[in-house]
Formats: sequence, structure tokens, C-alpha cells
Amino acid sequence: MASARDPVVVGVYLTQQARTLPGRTSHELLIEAVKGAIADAGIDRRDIDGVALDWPGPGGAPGDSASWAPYFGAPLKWVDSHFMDTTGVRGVLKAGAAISAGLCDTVVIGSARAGPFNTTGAAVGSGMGLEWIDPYGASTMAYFALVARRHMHQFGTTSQQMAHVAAVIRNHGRTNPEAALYGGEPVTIEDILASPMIADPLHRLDCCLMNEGGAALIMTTAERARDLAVKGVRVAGGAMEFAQGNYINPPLYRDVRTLGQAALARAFGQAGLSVADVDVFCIYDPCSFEVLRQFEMLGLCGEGEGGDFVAGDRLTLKGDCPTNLDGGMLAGSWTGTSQLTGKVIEGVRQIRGGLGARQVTDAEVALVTNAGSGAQHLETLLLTGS
Amino acid sequence: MADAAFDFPVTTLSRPYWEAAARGRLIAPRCNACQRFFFAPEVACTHCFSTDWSWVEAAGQGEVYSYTTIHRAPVPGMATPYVLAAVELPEGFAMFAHLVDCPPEALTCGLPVEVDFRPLHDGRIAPVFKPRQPSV
Ligand SMILES: [Zn+2]
Repeated sequence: MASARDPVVVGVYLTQQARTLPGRTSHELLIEAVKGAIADAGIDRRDIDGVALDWPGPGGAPGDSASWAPYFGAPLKWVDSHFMDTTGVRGVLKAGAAISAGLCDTVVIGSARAGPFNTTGAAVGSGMGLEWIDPYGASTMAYFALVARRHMHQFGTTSQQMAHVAAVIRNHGRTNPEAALYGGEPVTIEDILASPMIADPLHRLDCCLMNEGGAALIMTTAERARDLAVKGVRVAGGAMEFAQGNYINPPLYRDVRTLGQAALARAFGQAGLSVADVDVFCIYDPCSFEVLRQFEMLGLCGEGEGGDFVAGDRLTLKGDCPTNLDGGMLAGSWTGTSQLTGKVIEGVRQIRGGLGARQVTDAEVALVTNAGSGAQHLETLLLTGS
Repeated sequence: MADAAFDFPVTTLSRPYWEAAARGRLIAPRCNACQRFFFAPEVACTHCFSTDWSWVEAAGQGEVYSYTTIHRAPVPGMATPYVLAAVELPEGFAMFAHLVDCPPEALTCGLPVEVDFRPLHDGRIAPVFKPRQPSV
């Protein structure tokens, strides 16, 4: 049972996600997401006293969350402006900590991007012009590829096993009207393997979709959530783990391995739950391999056994680990940062219920992960209905 | 050295590294407090936090820990495909480098490699690695 100041997610909103959103701007897209999340929660915008929102501009002070203060009717009590804190699990955990500590009561978190990630058509890299990475053309997918290749070398993991993960999750997106691949033709392992290589062993269809879009969510105290019409979803546990800074040195599998396991142990400990209690898996899926690795991290199989573990129907609604039933990022969106919030939103929606064809029956516990840079970091949340 | 010629910055921290590469030498930071190498260069040793370290030449013999052949570059103007490797050096550090002069069928984790020096797409000379010739 939640105590009065425990953080609860009460509003979520995902904008349209598409390869391009002509005529939209990041700022106006984010305003749509914020208004949408406020409406979903059924609160007044003046109830918000804490802000972890990106500020893309134009106008205001670029990147300064305090620029949002005029819209929420009173001086804000708390802001967080870092681009990795205005989204996803990290945003929820930091806002949740602020709420629990009594620094503020109701927080909005969100980010959005319209327009291309870069104007050159190049693959996504660090985006920061880093001296030890960018001159070598170390793309983001190269980071995951280096980890996947070593995993294949040590454990015999195959391209087919990775392609199976990509096919399953991409096919989930076919039933989600909000997914970019909604209604498309079924995808097979052969389709994945026949798609062009991006960073060997990862094919184009092993990689997530680069899209435009935004997301926002609202959190408040358990006490206030009880007064709202919407079903609150409790943040029952959560933790983070960082091996090194993003994009500095090559990710070595011997360092990465089951990175995230310590964070998971802390999160499950806080929640008084174990992995066996998880009904819904919202796993960060920048590429097929990372999903496979995270099942090893979860301890549901041994290190090196992820390829066998994810086989068959296991990750589908029929299986015992329903994973990314919304289509994840493989059939949905990577937008830069808002996909991190997207993972939380699917977990919240599954706990609320009523998702139709992709609803996990009586979902009580959702596990959410965020990760990056060949999994140099992992953040996790446990969401529950009570 | 004309930093502006490069697509990515050369800093006061890294200038000696690129200058050495241009002269055909691979150097790396070694801590004067704990005697260990670390990479990439940082203001303080990543093992013991000491700021007292020196650039020391590495032998340039290593092994491929992992590799990926990249068909879509994150940097405009880079010719594809190219092989990006995580190379481990016996001095005790690992680094990104391009792998060159290696037929695709010879690519494998654990491949013994040695350093060479080639221009990157922006013209800077960088350490690269190529398969090590068997010693006679
Ligand atoms: Zn030291």
C-alpha cells in the first residue's frame, strides 16, 4: 500500500510518431504532449509545481526548464533541466524523489523532437562531436554491434536469434494503431536477415526506427492521486546503474555483461517483488541484441543463454514474458530522448488496462528499462497498480 | 597543428596524441602514481585519481576484442564500409581504431594486430591496426 507521498503516475501522452512530421516544431510538439498529459490526468495546469521538461525553443532560455514557469501559474518549486532527466526512467525517478522528499507535489516530465536528428542523413552517433568517438565513425549502433559481436563469439549467439527478437517486436507494432509500423505486412526472420547491414552483425531491421515525436507524463503524490478520476500507477521501485560516461571508450562485453543487474536487485527490493512477479516487460530496444542481453541481465536465463531464451512465442502475448507489445522502438520510435518516456507510458497503460488486442490480462506489475551506448547504463522502474 | 582543419576538436588534453600519431607513434597516458596506463586521456588517472601522469609510447601490438563492419557512417564524408574495432593492448588499455588491410574472412575476435598510421576522413593521421605478420 502506498504511503501519502509515494510518487504515482497519473497522466501520460504520446504525440504522433512518424518518420517525419511536416510542419511541426519540437517546441509546439512538446506543448501538445504537455497539454495532453495534463488532460489525461484530469488536473488543472496550475496544479503543476515541478517541471522536468526540455525547452527546445525558440524563445525562453534554451534547455532551461524554468522557462515553463509562466504556464503553470505560480513560481515553480522544483525544476530539472538536463536532457536525460526530462524524460524516461531517469526523469521519473528524480521527479519521484523530489515528490517523496516534499520538494514539490505534481511534476510534468517530457521531451519532443520534430525535424531531422541531423541534416546530413548520416547515421546517429554521439551527436556531441566527441574526439575519441566521432573521428572513427563510431555510430550508436556500432556500440551495440561491438557488444553483440563479442557475445556471438563467446556464446555462439546467432544472427537468427537476434532477428527473431526483431521480428517478434516489429510484428507487435502491427496491432498498435500508434506504432509507425501499424497494419504493415508481417515481418519474418528472413526479412530481417535480408535487410541491409548497418553495423555488422546488426541489419537495418535489427535496429529501431528513427522518428519524430514527443511524449510527456504527470506524476503526483499517492494522496493527491486518490482524488483523481484516472487510475494512478505507482512507482513501486526503481534504480540506475552507470558503467562509464556515454561515448567515451569502446564498450567491452566483459565490462557490459549483465550490467543493470545490481540496479534491478535494488528496484525489486524496494518494491518487495521479484522478476517472477512481472506481468509486462517494457524493454529498451534500440536493437534486437539489447533485448536478448536484458533477459540475461534479468536473470531469467544464464549469461550467454539469451538467444535460446527469447525463442518461440515467449516474448508475445501468448508467452510468459510479454515484451514490447506496443511494438517498442523497433516498430515505434527512437526520437532522441522521448522514446525513454515512451517505455514508461506503455507500462502505465498496461497497468491501467483497456488496451484491447495487446492488453496483458490483469496486468499488475510492469518492468520498464532504459539503456544506452551499448548498454553503458541502465535505468529501471517497477510500476504497479496499487 | 591546425585544429580547424579537423571535423572534431583537438584539445590541450589530446594534442600530444595526434602529434605523435602524425609522426608514426602510438602514445597513451601512464600514471606516475600507480604506473598504470589508461585510455582515453583524462585530466586524472581513471585508476587512482592522480593528476600526475605522462605520455608513454605503447608497443603497438594488440588483439581485436570485438569489431563491426560499418555500412552507414555517422559522419558525412566517411567512405563505407569500414571496420571499427575495440583493440586491447597488453599495456592494459583498450581503444577504438579502424582495422585495415584485413580480408573480411580473416576478421575475428582475438585477431593479433599491430599498429599502423593512416589518414582519417578529415585528414588527421590516426593509429589504425592491421593483422600482425607472423614473426619469422
Ligand atoms: Zn593512477
